[in-house]
Amino acid sequence: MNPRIREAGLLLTIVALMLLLAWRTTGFFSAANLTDLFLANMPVMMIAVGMMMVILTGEIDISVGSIFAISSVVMGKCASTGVPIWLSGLIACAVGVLLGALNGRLIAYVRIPSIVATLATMVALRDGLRWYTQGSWIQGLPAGFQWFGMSQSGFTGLCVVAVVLITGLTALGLRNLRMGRAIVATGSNRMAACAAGIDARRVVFGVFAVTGGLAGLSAVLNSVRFNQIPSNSGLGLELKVIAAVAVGGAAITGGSATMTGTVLGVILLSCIGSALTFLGINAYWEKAIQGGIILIAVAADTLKLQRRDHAKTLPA
Amino acid sequence: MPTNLLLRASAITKSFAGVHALKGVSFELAEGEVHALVGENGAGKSTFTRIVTGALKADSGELEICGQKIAHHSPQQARALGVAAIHQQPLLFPHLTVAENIALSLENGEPGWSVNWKRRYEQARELLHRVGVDLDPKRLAGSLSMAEQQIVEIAKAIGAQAKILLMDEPTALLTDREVDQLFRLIGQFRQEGVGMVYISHRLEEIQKIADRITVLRDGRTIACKDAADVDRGGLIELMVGRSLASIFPKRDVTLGETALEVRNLNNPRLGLHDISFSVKRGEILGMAGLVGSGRTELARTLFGLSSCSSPIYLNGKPVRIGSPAQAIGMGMGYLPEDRRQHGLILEMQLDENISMASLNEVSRWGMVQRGKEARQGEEYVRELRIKANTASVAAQTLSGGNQQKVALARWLAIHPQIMILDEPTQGVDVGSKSEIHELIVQMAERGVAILLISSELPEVLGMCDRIAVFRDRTIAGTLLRDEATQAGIMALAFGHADPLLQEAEQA
Repeated sequence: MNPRIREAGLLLTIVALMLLLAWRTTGFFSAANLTDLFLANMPVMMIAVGMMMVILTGEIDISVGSIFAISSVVMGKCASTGVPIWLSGLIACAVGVLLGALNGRLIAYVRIPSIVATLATMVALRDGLRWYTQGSWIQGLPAGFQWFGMSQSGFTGLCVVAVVLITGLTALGLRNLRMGRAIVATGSNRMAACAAGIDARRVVFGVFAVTGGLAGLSAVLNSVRFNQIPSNSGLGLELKVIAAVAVGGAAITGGSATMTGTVLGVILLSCIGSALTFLGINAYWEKAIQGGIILIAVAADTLKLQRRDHAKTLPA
Repeated sequence: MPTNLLLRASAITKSFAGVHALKGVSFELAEGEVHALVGENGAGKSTFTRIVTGALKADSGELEICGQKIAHHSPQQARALGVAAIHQQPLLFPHLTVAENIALSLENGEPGWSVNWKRRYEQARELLHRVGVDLDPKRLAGSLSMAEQQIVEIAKAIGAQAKILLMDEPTALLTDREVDQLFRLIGQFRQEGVGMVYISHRLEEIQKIADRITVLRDGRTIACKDAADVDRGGLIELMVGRSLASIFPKRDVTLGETALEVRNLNNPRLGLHDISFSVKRGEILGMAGLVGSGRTELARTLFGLSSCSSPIYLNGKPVRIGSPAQAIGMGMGYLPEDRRQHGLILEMQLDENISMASLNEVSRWGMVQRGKEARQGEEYVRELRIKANTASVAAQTLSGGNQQKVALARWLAIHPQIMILDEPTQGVDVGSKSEIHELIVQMAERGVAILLISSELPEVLGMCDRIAVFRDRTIAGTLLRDEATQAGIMALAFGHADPLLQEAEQA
């Protein structure tokens, strides 16, 4: 199946959902709700950009939720001990990059399979954080912490700009940067990429570091929405991100994914939760419906593969 | 000749997504006959065999196996009728033992739930004995050499009481000695009345063993002749529909300075030891030897795909090459052995594949200039006569020979000083093959030092100025073009103690 068809299908699903909401509910399309929806799902979008690149190289990162939590706490701790807020944000981002680089190191150079390596870091980081904070939330944040001292609309605008820049530049980079080419080549056929002079290990290391950095950045932007920071934020975030990327049409075997698909996947998964609330459906259904969507998306891919393999039985 | 027909196919057609792969193939196979099927890549040989084995269904036409008309065919049915196939790449389960692999195809539907291990091993041992090898049935299939795996496939076929044996390029990955062993087996089966369909690009092999030869071109049966009535030139003419002037276009080139020299190279990780040789600009140094004798390993070491502490001398200066990127930076190119696995990225476009090793030439400030890249791609498509509408189609849509030309274009684009070619014409049709040979000669004329690894002795003899023969992961000896013969190369490759040497010398 052409990625364009997948994207069109996703778009139609989203439009259908929107029409249903417009028809059956009131308030979903209010500015307040949409702003809230955007801010709540901004981390998913940002991390999905990194995750898409990880999946493009044929790997997976399930530790992003834990990295997100650690960066959030680092941000809060720094700010509450008097470090300037901008510097706290930088430190939290740097921690994200470092933890991502740790994943990258383990996977690319120590050669631990990514699902195992990031499972280990996911659990270790999450439990390390629980031990460190003893489960308590971080409070006593300075004035000017919330919204970076801006107005809420100003902050939302900043986030919109950040999301647009990150997705847009990454999409362009994957198409036009030598590094982007290296990522796609590595994911399609790692041995062939190596034989063509591409340093596949550096590519893998790089995408994990970038994904860690995006988890850190989104944690910083997310943490300033409140005046206290929970120590268990980002729980289950990795699943939502991976689901969005998979629904967006990324081949879990690597080598194929589009930014448009990923953005649409994030939008669809983000809207469903909120839509259920508005439609008055029990929130317990959210996960089930998410699962169903993933199943449909992956089944479509599998059918596509079967058909392609059949078409490929042309003589060698 | 048709005494007792095992297989009769007439006017078989098959199309994939509107593309006609077969447009009327007729074929007969008699008991005890070796019937060769030849044709360029894309002529329809593989499609036809897949129809016979039941993997594909013909759109129209008649198929009769052992006198039975076949309408709806399945692989299980084909097996039950005595059809077995041996492919270019053995299809064994690498993590299972030889005995288990054999048993998997034979024990289907056997009653009882417990495995009779003793009988399994006995059965495997007996079958392996019948094909004349002494393999331990308890070994894992993944630990066997390609040839040994191929032999296990044959043992499977015998165990299944095959009456019709389809062999698709069975010798592509075998060394000459292993090929001889296979041919002995084929002779034995012929005695037993097995009919064999033999597909190969190696025409000299076909003339050696085939009784009849059917030529396919563009999905049609062009001719069916007795093997004795047709010579190689005639076969090639029938296959390509035009005559080829000379098979090897090698021309003499005045040699330049030494471009690459290696002294006592050791790479314990790949088992290479004490390798010394040098190549001059414009020279083609052949590398012959058995599969696994260390040629590909040497190529990988030189190209930085396997680290090695011995220095390599480029233009007289010692260098260390730690990665392919460094090797490319020093003007070295490497066309790997298996284009599907190592050579190309099949999902990517032709122009993207071609620019992959020379991205710095089509990019500025880390940005790939796609227009420039596309123009470069189109240029190579035209120059190398790659059969594709544009350079923006995916590499997987091309046939094997054209894919290989794309892989070669990637390395032409880096303007190499040293080029390592690993089996550049393996699995490539006759037409593309001579075009690739011409490109190699042109490269040499431009002053590129070329290492040509090939398991096809005529290719090595026809293309190279000197031939280094490998044995046991080192160079056993180097022959000059004038003194090299097939027998001489084989003697070096097998070592002097080998009985085949005498055979070869007598020949």
